[in-house]
Amino acid sequence: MKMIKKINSYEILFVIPALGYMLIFVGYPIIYNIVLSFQDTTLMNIGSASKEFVGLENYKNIFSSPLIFITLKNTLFYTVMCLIIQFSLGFLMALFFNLKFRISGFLRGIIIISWMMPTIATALVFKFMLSETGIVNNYLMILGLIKEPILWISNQDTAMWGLIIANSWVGIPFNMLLLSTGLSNVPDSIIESAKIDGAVAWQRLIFIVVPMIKPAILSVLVLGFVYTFKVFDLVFTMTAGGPVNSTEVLSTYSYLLSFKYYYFSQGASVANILAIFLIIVSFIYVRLTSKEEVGE
Amino acid sequence: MKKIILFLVSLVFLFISCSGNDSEVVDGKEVVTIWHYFAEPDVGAFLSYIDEYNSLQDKYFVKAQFVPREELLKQYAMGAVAGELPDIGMIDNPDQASFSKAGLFEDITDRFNAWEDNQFLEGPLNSVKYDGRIYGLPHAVNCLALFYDVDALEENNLEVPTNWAQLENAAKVLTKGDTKGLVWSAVKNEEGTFQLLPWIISAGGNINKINSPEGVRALTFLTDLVKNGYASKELLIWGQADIEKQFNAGKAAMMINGSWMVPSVLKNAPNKNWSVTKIPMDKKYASVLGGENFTIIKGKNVDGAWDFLTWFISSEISERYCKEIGKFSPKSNIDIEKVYGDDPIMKVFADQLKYAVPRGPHPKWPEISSAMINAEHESLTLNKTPQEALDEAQAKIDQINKAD
Repeated sequence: MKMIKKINSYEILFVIPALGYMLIFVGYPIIYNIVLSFQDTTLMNIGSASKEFVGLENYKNIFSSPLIFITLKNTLFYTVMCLIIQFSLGFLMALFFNLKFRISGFLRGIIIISWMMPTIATALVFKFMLSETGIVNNYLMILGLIKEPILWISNQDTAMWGLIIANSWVGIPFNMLLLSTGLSNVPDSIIESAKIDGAVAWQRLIFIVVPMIKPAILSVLVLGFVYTFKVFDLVFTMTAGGPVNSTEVLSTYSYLLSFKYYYFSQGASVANILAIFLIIVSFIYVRLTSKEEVGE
Repeated sequence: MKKIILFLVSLVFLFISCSGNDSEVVDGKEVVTIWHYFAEPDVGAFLSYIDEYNSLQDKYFVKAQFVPREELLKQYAMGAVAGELPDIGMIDNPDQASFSKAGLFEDITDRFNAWEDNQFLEGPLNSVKYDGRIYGLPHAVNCLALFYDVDALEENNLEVPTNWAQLENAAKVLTKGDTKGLVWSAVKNEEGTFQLLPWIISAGGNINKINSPEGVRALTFLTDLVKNGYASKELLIWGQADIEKQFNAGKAAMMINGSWMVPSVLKNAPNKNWSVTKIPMDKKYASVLGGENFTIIKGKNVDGAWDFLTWFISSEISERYCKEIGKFSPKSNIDIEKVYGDDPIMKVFADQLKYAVPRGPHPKWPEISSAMINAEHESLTLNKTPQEALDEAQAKIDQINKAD
């Protein structure tokens, strides 16, 4: 049986603006970027009409430099660590605020502010707080946890952790918000009957709550991955990719190639590599959620 | 259905026809547009000079448009594709060569040679040259010097340092508690390179051959300052504005910084007793030339642009304007000593300026600069010895030169 209803000709008109918008502002740049990555476009020939197609030359060039592997490793490390921290803490906080005590709504509102701050502001504040004489080291010393100040973002071994801390601060409330929305959809009656059946707290959590909010968990993880993987402004403001190359990530590397060295095609290639990761993750998400819907 | 499509199509055309260029004429004058990234306190003075020019003649009307510094180069690159560029563009001097080579700017050599008022200092003039041709005019220059806390030096019976040994000793003595002896910017961008080069040149090194024994000596000196704790390890992420804050807050007793920071230190640390001196030397005094150039975009209103620039960068206006904004005129016929004779701080910078060398000019300067600052990072973090770090950077620079 044909499921799709026949569309009236005038109904198409309502789709045209959105479709047009998608084609012009999403489709075109993506295609252009892909084409660019197979050309040899630099500052020297950007004004001329025809650019030479060089096949995979740009990708070869990029992969012949060790920097791409460093940035890939950095980006993945940053993303995975941020996801683990912001998801676990976000989930704990969502559970906590789901207890519905008197000022839980108010507190939740306050915590969400950090997510709404412009990233540049967050980056600057954390740059100060994590500095050698900053408030973080100050308190850690007062509490006797450390003897010497930690050079959070100016030491190549810890700089990435400085960025992870700053980003998690932004990511935790976002995770909390989405997860607590999921939690509030879990009917109390199911929890109650599980209690009556003798399920203890952790059993209720693992076997009832988590499966029920699986769609929320999936979307939090996927959205979190996408936001974190394409990080730019936080890194650019806090460390500019240094010390040495310890915080250089794919997006800042792409920027460096495109707008510092003016190798636009190589920059586009790095951006495409970044996009491939995001597409793979989105694809997995779509597969998982569509299975979920079929199962229902 | 047809009517609706017709309606939509006409809407699109209406939209396209409305988004065309502004009229190129204001009050019967031809419009000349300028892109700039001047911010406070310079921008007020700059705009007032444009107003002055506009009221002085009736042929051209100059219109200034602000573009953030980080955005400007991107805008030039994109403008080159889209054909949307101003008549006059501002550019930081190390970036000039790349865009000159790319053919974005008008070759103004002949006009320049025919201009009566064409006396410029050699360094700034070199920064607008590419392949022996001239592609712009320097508008103001600056350089780096050493800012120091007068009280801190006096309390410790220290002389104002003039050579590296004295500097190292002062940095050592002045490092107490929260306060570091000396800070400079080693951030991973052009600011970092700008602050690294004076040391290499002072040791007798050469910008084109940084892994010479002199270059190694300079980087070793800086690395030791950090290793011994006389300079903060955090300078790896500090830009020049960050180190100014450290100095103002008393967390650094001395800093390397530029003349453009003077108004800001005066404003933000009004009670501080400070002064400046030339960067202490090893074999010779050295600084690096900073400052911006104005260029005329190829194929735009070249006559109008030239008319405005030759007025704005004429000796008479340049002297007045540069004094107003705390920078130095690039004109060689202006007696800097005379202009700044009454200002002890600016007098030091004027003196230091004599030893300032330009970066490049090289169309791939950004890559060369990147290799240099990376070498400083590798060395300051003790990842590599100064020799190894500079050898690696030199190999990259040689490769860049060979490919060019």
